[in-house]
Amino acid sequence: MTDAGAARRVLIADDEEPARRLLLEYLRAHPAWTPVGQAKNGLEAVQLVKEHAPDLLLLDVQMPKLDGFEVLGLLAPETAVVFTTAFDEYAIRAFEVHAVDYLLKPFSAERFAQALDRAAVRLGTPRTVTAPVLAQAARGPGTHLERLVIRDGAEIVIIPLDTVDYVKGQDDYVEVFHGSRSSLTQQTLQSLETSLDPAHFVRVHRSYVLNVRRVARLEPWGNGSKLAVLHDGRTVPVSRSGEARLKAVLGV
Amino acid sequence: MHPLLAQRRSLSAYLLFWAGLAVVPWLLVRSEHALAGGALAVATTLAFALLTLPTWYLCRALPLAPSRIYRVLSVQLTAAVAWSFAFLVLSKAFVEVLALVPDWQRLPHEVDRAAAALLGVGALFYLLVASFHYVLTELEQRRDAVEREGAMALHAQRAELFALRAQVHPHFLFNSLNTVSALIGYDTAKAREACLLLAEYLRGTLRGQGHSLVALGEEWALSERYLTVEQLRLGERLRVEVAIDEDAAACLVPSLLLQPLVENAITHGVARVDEPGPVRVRAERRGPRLAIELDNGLDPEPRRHDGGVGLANVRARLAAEYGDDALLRIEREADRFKVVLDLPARTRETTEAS
Repeated sequence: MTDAGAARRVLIADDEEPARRLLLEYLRAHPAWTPVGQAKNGLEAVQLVKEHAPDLLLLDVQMPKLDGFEVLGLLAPETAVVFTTAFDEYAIRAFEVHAVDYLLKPFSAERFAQALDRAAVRLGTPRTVTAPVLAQAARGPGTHLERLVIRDGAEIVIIPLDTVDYVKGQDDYVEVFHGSRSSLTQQTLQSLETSLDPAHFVRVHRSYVLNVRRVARLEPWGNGSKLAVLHDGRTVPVSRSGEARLKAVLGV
Repeated sequence: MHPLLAQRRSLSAYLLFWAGLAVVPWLLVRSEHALAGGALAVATTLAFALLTLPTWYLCRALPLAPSRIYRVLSVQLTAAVAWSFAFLVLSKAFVEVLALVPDWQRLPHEVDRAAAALLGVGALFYLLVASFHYVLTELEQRRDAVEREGAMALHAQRAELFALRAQVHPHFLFNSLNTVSALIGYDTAKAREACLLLAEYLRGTLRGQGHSLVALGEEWALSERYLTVEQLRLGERLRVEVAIDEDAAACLVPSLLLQPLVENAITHGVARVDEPGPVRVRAERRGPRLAIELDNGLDPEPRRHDGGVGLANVRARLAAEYGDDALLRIEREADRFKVVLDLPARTRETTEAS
């Protein structure tokens, strides 16, 4: 808990102006909370959180650039998050990623006050959400990721998955190779693999997941293993069991 | 009614067939006057064929089914026996008449001599009649089944079309209500305007469900209300450029045809992009064709490929209304999405005339 006297800082992220103004109006009744900024899209939300380090983020789910779950995936776990949305189908996912509360639009001032109370109790308690849960929440049940959102140093990189050539895992990190670039993200290869479309991405090796559409040919590489040669000439090691999985997907 | 009696041609064919079969009793009677025997055989056989037509009702009441095959067999065999006597009686009755011809006095004797054979022929003829009628009932049942299936398919198609009509999405309502709730805090006049627009839009969608075809102008007026409500929520991000020429506005289109396309443009386009550019709607009448184009900005880095449901609905409705005579084409660029419709230009005048 923060000191009772210190103002608690709130950031609003919503792409709709009326929705932002409504939140500001509701907040006026709670002088203990001070609005410190308003973001009009997901990317701006991430930037403003970094700039203002708010105690609480009021986060819309459907926004341009990054959606609410993608934003959450890029935040430090200390920032408490209350989702605000007209869609009730995200509620379960919101609690899975340890959101403090979930406000269904339209909501009353009383319901909003309740969410602030919950946030006050949770202040200072970091979220402890594992990467697989977050990845699952970001894509929703029964679907596969269409893109990765990665914080690469100060930059936020959005990588459409069809531009990904292969992914290399090393301990708690994965390196995503896309075109001429590569980006690092803190996640295990296994958790990332479960979010990918199995029709396109195959675990060909203990440390490699490969986009099968990039494979030009397989070459023998000693001791029964193979080497996948990509269309641009780069190579990825393929283990024996990986070769079987690859051939199953390619249907050869 | 008996299917043969309903069609004169098939009745003639039926009787012609039986006249041919008269050769059997003719051969059995072996009259010394071939003509006398022939006349008798033909008269008896045709009379028999006509009199056994009601077998149709018996066959229908007693359909062939493995579970009651013994009942069918016993009834039909009994009928066969009865009809074999009837065949003999018929022959004797005709013989009485034919024997009046001076040269043909021996005919009754010849018939008596062949009586046993004629009884057999009668039984066999009856069984032939019964088989024929079973084939007929089977054919009729099959035709009924096809008709019933057709009717059911039509019914299902209508129900599906009804479901395909643009439904008011609850999320649109919730978002709009949230906008109204916010506007009440800082712009009550606009809040009221939003309520009125929303009511007009809802009423329009309800009314649209009663008609299959409406003028494009009316259809667009409805979408315009929807867009005005969405504009309150999305602000400057939503700009609309409309160019619907007068001739096009008068053309009839399936009601609520545009609405799913307009909704797609907002939910999958404008609402997901920071600076989406305008939503453009163009409609033009080109002689006998009506061309409608709708395009909108698109998220260049899509999170998920969706929006297929609305498009599939529009396709299904076009197919139901125009068959192959209407086209829906999609043109997709990196940051724009365009739907092109090409359909027959019909107006109230042309549809009334035809």
